[in-house]
Amino acid sequence: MLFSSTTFLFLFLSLILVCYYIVPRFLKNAVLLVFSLIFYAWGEPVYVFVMLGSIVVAYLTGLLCDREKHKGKLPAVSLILAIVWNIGLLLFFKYTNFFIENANSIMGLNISPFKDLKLPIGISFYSFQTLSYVIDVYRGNVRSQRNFLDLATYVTLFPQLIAGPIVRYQTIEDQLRGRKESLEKFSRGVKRFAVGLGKKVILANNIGALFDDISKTPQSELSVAACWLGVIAFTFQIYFDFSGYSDMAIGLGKMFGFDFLENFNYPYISDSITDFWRRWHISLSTWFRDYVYIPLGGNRKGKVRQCINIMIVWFLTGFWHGASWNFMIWGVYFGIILLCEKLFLLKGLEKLPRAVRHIYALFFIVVGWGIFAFDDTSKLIQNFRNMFGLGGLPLFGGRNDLFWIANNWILIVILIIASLPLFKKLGEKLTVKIPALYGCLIEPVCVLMLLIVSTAYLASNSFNPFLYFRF
Amino acid sequence: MEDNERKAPRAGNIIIAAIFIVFVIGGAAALLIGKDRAFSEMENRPLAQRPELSFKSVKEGKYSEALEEYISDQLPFKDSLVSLKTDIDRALGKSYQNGVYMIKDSSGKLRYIQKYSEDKAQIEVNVGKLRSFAEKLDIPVDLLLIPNASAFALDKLPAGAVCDDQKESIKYVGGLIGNKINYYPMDDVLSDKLDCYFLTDHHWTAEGARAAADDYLRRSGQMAEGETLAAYSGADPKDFYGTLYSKAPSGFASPDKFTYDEKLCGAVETEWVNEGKKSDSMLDRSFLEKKDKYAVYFGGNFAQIRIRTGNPGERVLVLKDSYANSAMQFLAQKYSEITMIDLRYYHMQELSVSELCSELGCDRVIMLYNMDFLNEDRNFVWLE
Repeated sequence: MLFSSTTFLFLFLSLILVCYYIVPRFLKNAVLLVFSLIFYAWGEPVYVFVMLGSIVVAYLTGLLCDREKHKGKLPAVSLILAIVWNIGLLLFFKYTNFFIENANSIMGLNISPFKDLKLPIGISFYSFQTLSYVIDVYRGNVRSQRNFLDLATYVTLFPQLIAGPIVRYQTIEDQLRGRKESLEKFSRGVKRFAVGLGKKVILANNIGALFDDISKTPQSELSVAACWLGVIAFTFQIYFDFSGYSDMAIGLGKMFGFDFLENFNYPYISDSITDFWRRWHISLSTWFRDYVYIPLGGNRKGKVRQCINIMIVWFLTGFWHGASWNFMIWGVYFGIILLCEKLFLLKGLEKLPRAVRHIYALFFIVVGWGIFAFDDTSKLIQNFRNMFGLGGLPLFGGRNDLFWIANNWILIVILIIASLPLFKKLGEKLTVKIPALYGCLIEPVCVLMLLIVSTAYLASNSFNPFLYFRF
Repeated sequence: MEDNERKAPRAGNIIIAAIFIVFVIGGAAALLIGKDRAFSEMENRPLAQRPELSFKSVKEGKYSEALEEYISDQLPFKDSLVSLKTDIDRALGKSYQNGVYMIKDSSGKLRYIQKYSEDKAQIEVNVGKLRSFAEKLDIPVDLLLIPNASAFALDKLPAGAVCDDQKESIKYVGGLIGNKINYYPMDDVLSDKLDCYFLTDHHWTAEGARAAADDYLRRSGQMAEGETLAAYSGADPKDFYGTLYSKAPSGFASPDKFTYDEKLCGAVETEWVNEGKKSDSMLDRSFLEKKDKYAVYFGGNFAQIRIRTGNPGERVLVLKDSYANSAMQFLAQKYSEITMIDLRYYHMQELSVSELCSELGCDRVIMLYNMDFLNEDRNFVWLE
């Protein structure tokens, strides 16, 4: 089920809110678990058992890899078992067909791919979560969870289940038992959810339609400017879509008393790519840092080793986003830029004026999305040729150029403003200056308007894609 | 609006929590208690009903799908919400939505113009079918090609609008048509008169149909110099929000006034052949109370309708789209019997169209199509 659907808002959410708040404390996790399973099973009832399998594995290996309780090889063996299970699942469901297809085309084999192998939604998120739990137990960072129900609640927790953020067990270990719901938290959750819903439904879908339109336009009607406009549209779409989901997840978490960590921090105001990756999908980059980069030796084994480690991490980061060449290229692309920044570029950048640093960062971010946006390699290449003037297109003056701009410039201005922390700062100022008016009138009116307008967009069944089906 | 760690006033928190709870639970309650609609006049389609719960449908994921459709279709205030979305998009500068441009008329009213994208290949196929059909007949065959509103609105469309010129397509058809078919393009007759078209619907008005019928009969020599068609006196004006409005239902749209002429639409007998229905009028007045007022003419489109006009004159076979429906009241004045064939529905019938034509002893074939239709429709193969 998607958050951005009328079914979620009016059926699922209303039911779970009622059930959650009327049952006594000891049943609250059970309510969350049951509803989360329904939420997950909604589109694909069968794959719920794959997830339950993962939970059982995490539960058992978690118990057994506690090195304070078990001596000898048992903890290490359990850890390896957990890694094999989770990575195995990912490899099987996500990458099998990719490997088969490429083996076929590279080595001239003729293995038939699994036609019915659909990717279980959210598998990349929950695999990483259960894995981090077991590793953390092994490392002694968290205690193992003896209560199966609580562990299952953690893994299945619907707000973060299908599109993140990757909530670490250590973040909510204490909250699973000792969290407190409060009016204040609830209303904060509502505000956050409404903002996220609006970002997804009003902004991301609207600009996404432009990218969709441009990428479907035949080559003969395009121009260099149009191709850039398309990639810029995608740049906005992916940010408002993904951070909108994270906002909704964080907001929903708060409604049930949880505090998740932030996943985005205004990534498009970055002044370097290093900065960008501290602000974009934070839960993923810290996951790779803590569970891949540091175990590989991080920066403790010399410069050469560090460079290799960085490239491994970014290759994997890219590949995590989907079984397709463009995601790998995208990861390696950022790996190289990050490496350059680390080795020499950052020092040089520091001497440049701020505006230049921002332009530099935005350029490489947008070009990166140009790689990310096309999983069809031939389209990817064509688009890049077009963008850099090698596609034989006019600079400007494609058939639809003027139309696209006339129809979208206001939206683009809004998107630019919304990418900056202006509203946040304004809100902070108003809470201090006119707390009563802001808190009792302006904020409630904004929330209500966001909810109604988002519902209006949902009601008209307009363009509403789910971008993470490959994650 | 994002997390301000500073505490908001308690009253504000209560208000926000209350808004949300009323919003989601109120929405759920309205769905549960509210009466389900069976049909959407706005979208012109039956709406999904509450699905039956069964183990099988749950397992296959069908139940969830059906429930989603049900909720989406029966959403409280759905039509108003869609209007709200349309107008927000307009405020964002999107004057083109869902295939239609929204422009301001000279009178300041909102007018919908359907985007036209020429498909030369399809035009060629369709004209080819008409030609080969005509060339096998030994009676006169006339083609009345009606431009749509976009043909006269190109200069009124918003900046950057992409819309092909129908007048070019009409010329293009002229080059393909051959000698057998007498070609009567109507781009001169209706020229620049956007008032020949509804503001909110893709059809022409009765005045437009009359002008075209008059011109055709005159140019083809079927109506003498001094002769005129009976005047149209539209009565009983009803507010009409047409099909184009449904595509982008702006709250700022003003309705058309739909009128009809009871007398002109009277006939000795109108027969809906496949349906076995007969009437003394071309009108189906039940549609006066529904949204799609244009369907007052014949109740919409049917495979075969025969009109015995009671007037002297030829027997004609009319191959047609829905534009012809409002033109019949005028053509009927000059013919004794009209048989209307709609190729979208005249499939696998006992007689092919040319067999029917000779069986009925027709003196003439009139093809009446609008440009959008000739550009897009794929049913001309049924002429073979």
